Amino acid sequence: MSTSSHAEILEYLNHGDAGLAVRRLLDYCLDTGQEELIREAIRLSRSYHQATEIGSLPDSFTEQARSLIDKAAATGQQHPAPQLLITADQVAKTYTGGNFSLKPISFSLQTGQVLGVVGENGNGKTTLLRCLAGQLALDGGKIDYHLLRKPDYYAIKNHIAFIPQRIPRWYGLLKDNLHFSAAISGIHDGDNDRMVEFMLERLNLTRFAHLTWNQISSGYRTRFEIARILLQRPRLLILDEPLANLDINAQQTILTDLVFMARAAHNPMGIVLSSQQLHEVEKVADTVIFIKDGNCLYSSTDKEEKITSTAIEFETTLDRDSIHGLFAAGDVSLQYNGGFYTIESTVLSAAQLLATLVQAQVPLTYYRDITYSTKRFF
Amino acid sequence: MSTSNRPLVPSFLQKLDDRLLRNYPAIWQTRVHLVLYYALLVAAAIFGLSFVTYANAKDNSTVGGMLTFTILISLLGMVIWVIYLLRFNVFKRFGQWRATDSLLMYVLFTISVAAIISICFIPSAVQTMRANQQFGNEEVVQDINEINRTACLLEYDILDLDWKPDTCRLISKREEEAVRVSVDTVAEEAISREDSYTRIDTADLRRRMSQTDSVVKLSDSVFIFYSVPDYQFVDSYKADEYTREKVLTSAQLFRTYLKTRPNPDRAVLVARLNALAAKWAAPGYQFENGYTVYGSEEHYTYRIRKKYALTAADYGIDNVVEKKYEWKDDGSAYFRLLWYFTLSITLLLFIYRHSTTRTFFLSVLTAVLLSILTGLMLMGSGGGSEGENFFIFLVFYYLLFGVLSLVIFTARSRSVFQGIALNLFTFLTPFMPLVVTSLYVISKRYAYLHNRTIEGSVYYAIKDDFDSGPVYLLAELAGPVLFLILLQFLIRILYRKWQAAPEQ
Repeated sequence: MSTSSHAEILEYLNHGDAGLAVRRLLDYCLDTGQEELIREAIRLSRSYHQATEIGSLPDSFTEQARSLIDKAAATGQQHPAPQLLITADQVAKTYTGGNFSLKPISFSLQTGQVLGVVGENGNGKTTLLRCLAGQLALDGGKIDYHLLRKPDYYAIKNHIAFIPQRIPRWYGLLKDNLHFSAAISGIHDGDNDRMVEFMLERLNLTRFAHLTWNQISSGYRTRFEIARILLQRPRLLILDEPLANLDINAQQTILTDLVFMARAAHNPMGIVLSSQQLHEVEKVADTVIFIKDGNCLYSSTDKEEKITSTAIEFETTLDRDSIHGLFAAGDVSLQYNGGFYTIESTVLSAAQLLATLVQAQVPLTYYRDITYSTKRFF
Repeated sequence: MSTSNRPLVPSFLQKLDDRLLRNYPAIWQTRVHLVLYYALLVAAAIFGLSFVTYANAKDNSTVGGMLTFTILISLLGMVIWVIYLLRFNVFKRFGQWRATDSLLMYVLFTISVAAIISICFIPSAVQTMRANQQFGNEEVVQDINEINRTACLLEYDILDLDWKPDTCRLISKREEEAVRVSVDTVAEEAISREDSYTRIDTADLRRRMSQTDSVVKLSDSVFIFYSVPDYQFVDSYKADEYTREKVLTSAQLFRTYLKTRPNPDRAVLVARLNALAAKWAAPGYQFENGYTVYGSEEHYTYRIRKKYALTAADYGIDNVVEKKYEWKDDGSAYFRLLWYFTLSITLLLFIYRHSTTRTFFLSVLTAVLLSILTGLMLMGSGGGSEGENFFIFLVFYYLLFGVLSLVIFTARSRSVFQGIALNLFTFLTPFMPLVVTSLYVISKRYAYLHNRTIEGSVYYAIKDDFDSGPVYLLAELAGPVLFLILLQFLIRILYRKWQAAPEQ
């Protein structure tokens, strides 16, 4: 991790991705556990944010960043080996009213891994997440929390953080809430200040810290909730539709940050998240499971066995007859879904299908290979 | 550091707030430091206002108005604090809470509630303080005696010097029982025809012997009790209860100063009496109507009090004495008032913060419904002469809630019924020693009555040889102790398990 992080941050700097470099540098310095390095990273991050507000980075920025990377690399911090975190074995849940059942689902998760749970509304995503979080009693199967010895529910809930879709409002200053969360997690005194400052910088929330809940947008509320939860250093982070209130850029940033943080040496954790943003989730998730009517229809862990055909989707301004004519021959099925086309083929690969479109000079406005995406199940 | 907009918060308090937030979240979230600070500010303001308002201890007490004002202020403070606590209800957040945090928070809640409620007692305390500042205990008694003595010496000629006799006959036990058993029967008429003496029983005899100014025993059963005319032109109930020197009774005044005609230096005494009357005069008091109070305006007491303006002085002394000894007389009652209000409010707060909002209000609803149901059952059963059935119900409910609460240890999921039982078990715990003690005392009283009745003694003239006071005091102390022990070793763990358990 040390070497790869070092190289990764340098690459960001070399390509002018200063924002990304600063965020990763914060993680990198936190992983060293060295107070001075963390402080220095926070200072660097602040100077970066101040500079971006003005509009130009000082020349010394890259130099300072490189110096800090070198200092962090010199500590020789190694990434811990992944640990098995949780195993869900045939987990099932039926509500008392009997109007919905989550059929048996099994999976496991290690530290540093991200599990994406996708599916349409009302199909059991939140139920599964709440079962994992110990919020709902199981009707079948079992969940093993491998890092806990003889856990009771208090220990489980202390071990896991669950961020619901509708985040309960905070009262008082946002910063006070963060300090409080850190304090009840055993982070006191100077460490408390440092970690809160770190998290504010890490999620780019410093300028909102002295505001209250009513004074920030729903997207920032999600970020503050994530900051609060991360201060508690959970080993398993469960997020129910965390992207719902975020703009496109923020979605990508948060997902990337979550992946980085899950793999951090400081507190390696597993992440389970549900979302409607399939492509964004699939990009970062190690495993994606698709739930429909309470059944797990697909898991990306067994994609090789279940996926027997190629699938692409695309949008074009060309008329439908021309498109149908293009794929009339061969083992290809074409579907029009209102705004875009989906093509499945057991013979042609995605690249061949794209080549067909390009050679026919079809004007493409959108193209995606969804062979291994849960999108094809919607 | 936080940049809160709290008014009147000095920098040291802000620093303390920050320090508690970062290091002692269990203390910080109770806001005890802010409650104590603001309570101190309000207390100082009310102290100052009371200090000015109660400048003259001889004035009639107007503490009622100030009390209403302070109750409103306390209520306002309590509401603000409780709203904060109920909103920032983060105790249920899972974290590294220490095993003693629940206990600590309960104690801090108690301190906070007590601080807010105790503001209400400041006006009364200041009033007492001001009265004590202005007049000494011995000074009051000395002046009362001097006024009465001087008035007697100056007005010897118009005083009634004849002692009033009352001849009494002690009736026999048989007569006594006849009277007691059938008050309006022939037996009573037969007895009343025997003589015109006042008939007294042994209890009455004892009382009269202790209170009479003089007594002459004519025979074993006939006594003449003499009472001296009233020579106390000013007096005050309890004025000498806490002093070395005692207020001279009319008999003592007579024996000391009126047995022989005095020959006073009138000019000196009149000046002294007028000075004392002026010293003690309560402002705004008019002289009372002689007919109404004394039956005639020719009554010597009326004339003397009018002549030397002693009515206003008497009121002034009464007001001073009432204020001076208010806390000595009612202090324990005030303390109990403060304690039980504090205990109840603290328990409700504690339960709310350890329970869910829904379960809390369902618990309140259950308590109300059980009260109604119990009331109906008590009406049916008669309730017992001393309310023992009510206490038995309470013990039964407590045990029932206790058993249901213990089910939490083995429950797979969180049940609202267990939550309600736990809430009510928690609320009842500090009161249970008192309930059990009440049952014990009632059982003692029954036995006592029963035995006395069998022995044939007078059943209403009971000399209660069982002193329940210390037993109740012990129970009052045992309640909180029992609660704190159970809180630390049982209730806290039950709430933790219940709160963490998954929903069904």
